[in-house]
Amino acid sequence: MIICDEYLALAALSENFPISTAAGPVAITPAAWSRALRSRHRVEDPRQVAIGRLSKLINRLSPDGCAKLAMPDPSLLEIVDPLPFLDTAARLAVSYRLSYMAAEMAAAALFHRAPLHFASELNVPPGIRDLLQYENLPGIHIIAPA
Amino acid sequence: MTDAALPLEPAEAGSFAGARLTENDRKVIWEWLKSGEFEKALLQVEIEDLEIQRRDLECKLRARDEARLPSTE
Repeated sequence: MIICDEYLALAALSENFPISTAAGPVAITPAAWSRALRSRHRVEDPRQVAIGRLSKLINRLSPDGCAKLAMPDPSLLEIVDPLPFLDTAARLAVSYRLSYMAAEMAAAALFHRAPLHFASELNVPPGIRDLLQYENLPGIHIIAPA
Repeated sequence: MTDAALPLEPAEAGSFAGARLTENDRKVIWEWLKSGEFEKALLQVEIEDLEIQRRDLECKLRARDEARLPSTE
């Protein structure tokens, strides 16, 4: 399994994922995917007048495409089930002072023994690198998109 | 719209083959990512979340404080 951030998840859905997916399905946690969906809804919201260019771009997405973002094709992007690692995520959030979203990603990586993938170093949640040392996190990889 | 009402195409032979994005939608998403504004939009979502959480928590705190006020009767 390749657990990734929102950028790489959308790259997978647009079939521009930058690395081989031989290591398993591309996956994202529900909290992270929810943020990507909220970001899309935000730019669609007519009250958000400040996001002109991005709104125009997102508004070109078909209604069918919007529905498919909400429930992605699992052969392209899997939304991982958080129930098996909810308690681990809660523990990591408290122990390492992580946001719940970051803790959920780390817990998914530990549960599935799968490294985390980010599109940029800037996307790596602060504090999550501590888990490499103290929790045996399987890895953190930065994949710069083409 | 509820999740149950999403206009998904029927899965073909137990697969999600019908759920792939069209070429145009894939192009829109790729342009969104390449625009350089995607990650900024995510951060704005997070800031809004925090503002909403703060509002809710302050509201709850106020309600609890008011519930503890001694009766004036």
